[in-house]
Amino acid sequence: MTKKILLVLVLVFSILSIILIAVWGTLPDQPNHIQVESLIIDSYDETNDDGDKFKNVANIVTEQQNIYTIEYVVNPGNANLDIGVSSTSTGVNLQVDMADNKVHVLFSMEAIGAKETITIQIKDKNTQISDEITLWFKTSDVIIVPDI
Amino acid sequence: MFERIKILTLMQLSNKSRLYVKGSKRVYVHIAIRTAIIIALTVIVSLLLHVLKNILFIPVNEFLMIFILIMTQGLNIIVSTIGLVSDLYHSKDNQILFSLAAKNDEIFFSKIMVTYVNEFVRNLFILIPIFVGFGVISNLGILYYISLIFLIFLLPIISVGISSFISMPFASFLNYIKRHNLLSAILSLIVILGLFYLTTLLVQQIPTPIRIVQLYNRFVVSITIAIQRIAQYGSIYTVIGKMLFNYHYLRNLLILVGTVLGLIAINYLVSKPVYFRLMSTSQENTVRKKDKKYKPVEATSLFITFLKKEFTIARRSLNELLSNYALLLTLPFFMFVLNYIYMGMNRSSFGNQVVLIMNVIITLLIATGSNTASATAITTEGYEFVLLKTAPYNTSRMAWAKITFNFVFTTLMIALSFFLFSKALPVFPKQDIWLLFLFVIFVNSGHILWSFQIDLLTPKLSDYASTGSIANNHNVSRSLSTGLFLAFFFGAMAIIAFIFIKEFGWTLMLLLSAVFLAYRFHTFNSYLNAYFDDIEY
Repeated sequence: MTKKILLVLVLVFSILSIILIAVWGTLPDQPNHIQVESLIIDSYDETNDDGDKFKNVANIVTEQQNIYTIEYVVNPGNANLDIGVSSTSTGVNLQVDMADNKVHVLFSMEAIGAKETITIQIKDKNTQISDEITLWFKTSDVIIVPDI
Repeated sequence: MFERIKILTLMQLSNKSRLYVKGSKRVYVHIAIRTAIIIALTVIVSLLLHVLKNILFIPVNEFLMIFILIMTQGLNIIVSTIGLVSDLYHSKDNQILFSLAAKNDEIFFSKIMVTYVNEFVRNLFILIPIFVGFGVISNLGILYYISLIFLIFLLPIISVGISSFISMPFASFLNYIKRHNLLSAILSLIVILGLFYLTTLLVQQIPTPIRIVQLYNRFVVSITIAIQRIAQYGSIYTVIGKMLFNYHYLRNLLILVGTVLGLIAINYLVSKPVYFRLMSTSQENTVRKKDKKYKPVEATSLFITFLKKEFTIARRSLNELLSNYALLLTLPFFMFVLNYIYMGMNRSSFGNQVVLIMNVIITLLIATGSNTASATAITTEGYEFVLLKTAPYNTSRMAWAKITFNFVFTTLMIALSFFLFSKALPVFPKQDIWLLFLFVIFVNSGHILWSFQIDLLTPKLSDYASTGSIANNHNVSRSLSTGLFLAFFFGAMAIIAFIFIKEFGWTLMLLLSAVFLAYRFHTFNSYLNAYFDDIEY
């Protein structure tokens, strides 16, 4: 028996104790069947004629800062959610923080270098209610032209 | 100059490395085994990166590469700094090297070269698997693999260069606090409290009520975001990561080469006037001005004399003190983190009982694992024990002095842990906290007596006198085993006490621990009176 083995034992017991209490020592969760009525992305700069939301990330996402965080609002607040996210580009990785209603968009260097325009969709899989936003690196004198 | 540095380096390397006869086949076996290990590690790292990318959905990109570089090289810098402080300033071979016909800065650079070679070999086992794994997973081109060859040689120069530069102020600081014991104690306390405060801040980020699935989601997201953000602050390692992923390749390569040359130059320029002076004042036998006001104080009793000796030894050998009690320093961290998670869950009454039982087991495991000083108390006297016994006094009081020191130190640490725990987690029932404290103190005191008894009956005086080390000491292992037994025994008792007879749960636990302490006290005292005089070298 050595101190290293003892430390490993303490760590193992710590993890086991958390699992033990989580599995057998907690009260059952109250089932929540409240459905989502709306899921909205609030933070955007402009919309086109079709109502698509646009956010200029040119000064937010840089070589040094490759993360942009999208916040979404769900109504009612205690609704039963099953969030899924998708993007139109492979140059980003999406991380959903379900506790804080946030989606972190992690840009790759390649995507930043190419100034890719990326549309992110956030959807509640239970109700299929969704909203989407397009992140783009706006250059001066660019006008959004609606799809005809 | 270069020839002398080469000879000095080879001399030191031959002392520290395994040598083979020229042309021996064992050299090839040695290389083949190391190569096989590197290949196996590369396969493992590639699989791990695959899991990160395709199962945990953590992006395997340049930012992850930079993060891994920061972590591995940061660890290398810490290890090298500690090693260099010892090798450059406290090593016993300095007395031989400085008597040779070589300049101070040549000795300095020869020692740096020895560290570089060790760092280079260590890096082969870390960097090749990581870099090749990344290349395979990210489908990187030929330029990436060509850059790797340069980096394998350049990265150790950066870490050793930074370490040797840091080691100079670090060695001065160590010399200063060695002469100021009170400052050293205050700093240690501040560091522990600071770490505890940081742990508190970090743990409080966990949203309550805790749901394990949600906690897992938060954990993975936080880790991913942290990896991406930390990568921005990697300075030279951010440059290397971007260069490897072909981002402004030439500009980043020039910055890398400039940094390496700059580090070599700055080490040369700073070490030239500093190294010899710092080395000569870092030795244990350095002559310093005596404090004229100091007058030795005569102790009033034999017990106090032995107790003072214990405190003096502890002050002089801080490393040994730390290795004996390091586990105990983790107690407040374990208690706080675990109980924060327990309290964060929506527990049933059975959950509350399990919380108490787990606290009993884990606290006892850590507390009893820190009584190894008592299990080697007589052994570490070594050859001096014979001289001690020739004194015309009742020298068995030495045993009580040693036990008192162990008891005072562990009790203070356990009390500090419980105090921080009660302050940091006010939702935990106060009554349970302080009853658990009393229980742990009883069992731990009994275990101190038990550990000392083990050493009293089978001291390894001659082993310690010849080796000067307590590594692989059988008494330490027995002390830890008895502690493990006690944790499980009282854990089983806690199941009975807190689940089956809840009303008298704490009464039973305290009664059992008090009986255990009384029994251990009685047996220890009997063995001490019967066997102490018979202990022989």
